[in-house]
Amino acid sequence: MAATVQAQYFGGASTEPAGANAEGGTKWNKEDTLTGTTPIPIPTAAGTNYSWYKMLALAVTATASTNISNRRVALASSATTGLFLFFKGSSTYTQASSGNKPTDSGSNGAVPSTYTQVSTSNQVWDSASVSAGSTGRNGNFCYLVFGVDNTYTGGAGSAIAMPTLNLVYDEA
Amino acid sequence: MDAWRWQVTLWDGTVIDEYEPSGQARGWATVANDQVERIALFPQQSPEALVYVLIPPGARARFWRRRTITLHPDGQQTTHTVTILGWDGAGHEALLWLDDEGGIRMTAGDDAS
Repeated sequence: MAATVQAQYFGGASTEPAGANAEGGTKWNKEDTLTGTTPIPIPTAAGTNYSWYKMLALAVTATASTNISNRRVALASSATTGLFLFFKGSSTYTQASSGNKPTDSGSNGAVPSTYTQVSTSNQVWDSASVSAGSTGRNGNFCYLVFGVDNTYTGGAGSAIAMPTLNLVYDEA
Repeated sequence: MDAWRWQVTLWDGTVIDEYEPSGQARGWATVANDQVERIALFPQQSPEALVYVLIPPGARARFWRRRTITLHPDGQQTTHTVTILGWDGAGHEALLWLDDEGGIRMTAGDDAS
């Protein structure tokens, strides 16, 4: 039997909390929540502004005698011009705050330091093989940051959709 | 439950099914993948194999499932599975990629998606 695996959000606490189901969607905001609407300003001149990061991870909700590996992330389609997602893998939970938000850039399309832009090709955030024999987080966090630059012309709002996000993993 | 289950036959004739008689599933890691003569793939509720892959002597049998959790903007989550089986060894690799509807692709690498 395959493990039951869910994309979960980790945040809102100073130490690693239990994951929260992330399948209801993520608001890319400037606060330490999954669905808050503190806005990210659209740059009025060349520049890229970033959200606070969101920590997602795969979590086993029903165990199996298998192993999970090769965790990857991709967008199902290209994002609207001027909108971006960036990612990095990390084994460490660190609560998101204004102090560790990526510093806004004065250039359009800028990739924040230590992050990689999420593309329509699968990119690895954690290749390690981890047993699916225990419930809870399986493997590292995928830190995700949203960015908007001055080329975005879609207007502001709290319900601007990013493309479908794919989290890919191998199970054997 | 996955669409397909694996069954391997070792070079010494031993047959190992993904599911024990008790119904408990085995992980692929329990298989001595350098001792496999062939991998068969069965529909879950069928005694007839969909496909057999013969493993060349000296090669390592491979099997895994690639799963994609899709987080839709409308708040839905779906999971899609591709089953991969084949072998590698001596600088060569041959893999079959099967979707849940039985569509098959063949590759010489493991980076198809």
